[in-house]
Amino acid sequence: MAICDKFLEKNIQANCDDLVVKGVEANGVIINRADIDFSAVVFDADNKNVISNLVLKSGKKGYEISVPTPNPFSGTTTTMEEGTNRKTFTNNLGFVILDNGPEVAGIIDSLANGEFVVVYENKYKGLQKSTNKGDATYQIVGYYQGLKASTLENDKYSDDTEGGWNVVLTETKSPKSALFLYAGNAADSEKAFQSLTNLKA
Amino acid sequence: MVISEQELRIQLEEMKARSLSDGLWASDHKFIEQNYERVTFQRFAKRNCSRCYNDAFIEMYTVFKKNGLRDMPNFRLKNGAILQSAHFSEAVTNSNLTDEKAIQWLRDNPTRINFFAVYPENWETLLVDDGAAKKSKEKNNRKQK
Repeated sequence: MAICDKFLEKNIQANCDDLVVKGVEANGVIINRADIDFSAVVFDADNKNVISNLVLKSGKKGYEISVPTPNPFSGTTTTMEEGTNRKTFTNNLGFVILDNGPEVAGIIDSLANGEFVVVYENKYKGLQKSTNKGDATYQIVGYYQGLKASTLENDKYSDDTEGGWNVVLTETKSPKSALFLYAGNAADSEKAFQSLTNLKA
Repeated sequence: MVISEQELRIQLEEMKARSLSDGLWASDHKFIEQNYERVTFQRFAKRNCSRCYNDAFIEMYTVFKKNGLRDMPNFRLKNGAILQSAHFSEAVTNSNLTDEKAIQWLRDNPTRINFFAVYPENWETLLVDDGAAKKSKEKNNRKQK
């Protein structure tokens, strides 16, 4: 019988060659979870916290999230939760939509009732590692349980949203602390990320 | 309607001028709907979105400027899928996918046909027959999954 992720197999230490930095880049990708082709998704053979190909169903695409603020995706966290048989993780993805109007309301209505997967780009990319350079760049949330809206708020006088929308999407009971999109090297990973939105890669 | 490369070039330049001044016309939107896939090999998602047509036009213009009007391959990848192989100098996406690359990759990974949104019905035959691979450039039936 398999024992799942119960024993340490590596040292715990700071990365002095490539110091970790906080923050997330301004552009991410949001995907309707139902559009993921789970049967075609490829996990890394050596690391089950890595997906090398996040394949979508035919005719489906991801959509860009652009957050042009000083701290994009502020409120994005991962927290361990107690469980009956094992501990799990809650992922919160926060962002603001600096816009309002009928088109935005349509997006908010979709966010309110849908289930999503988001891929965002960390400011810390791990590009100076001796192996697997760049594998910390793209992080995936919502893959296992789906991100659902926990906050959708429009405050006309908020300095944070300037009359736009504050959004928090939450995934509960994820079995993994983190999931990364990494195709073996930084350049190919960027192509995999861009190919999610039909952009030329 | 099949458009020639010259006609496409003229039309895109005219649209460029409009996009920089008064904005695209309704007829330009129709043109984009009819020709976006032909130029970019990607499906155009028609939505009620004020910037979508402009963004699509920029994509068409950029791709056409770089590649011209290419033959439509018989294989197309699903979004999110990229092909990596020792045979290729760089990862393959829809923007640089050719039938030859698709067949070469599938020979090593035949179970990964599920990476493709579009492929010929006789794709398995193509993996074993180099001559048939060249014939696939002539418009075989394409099976869309």
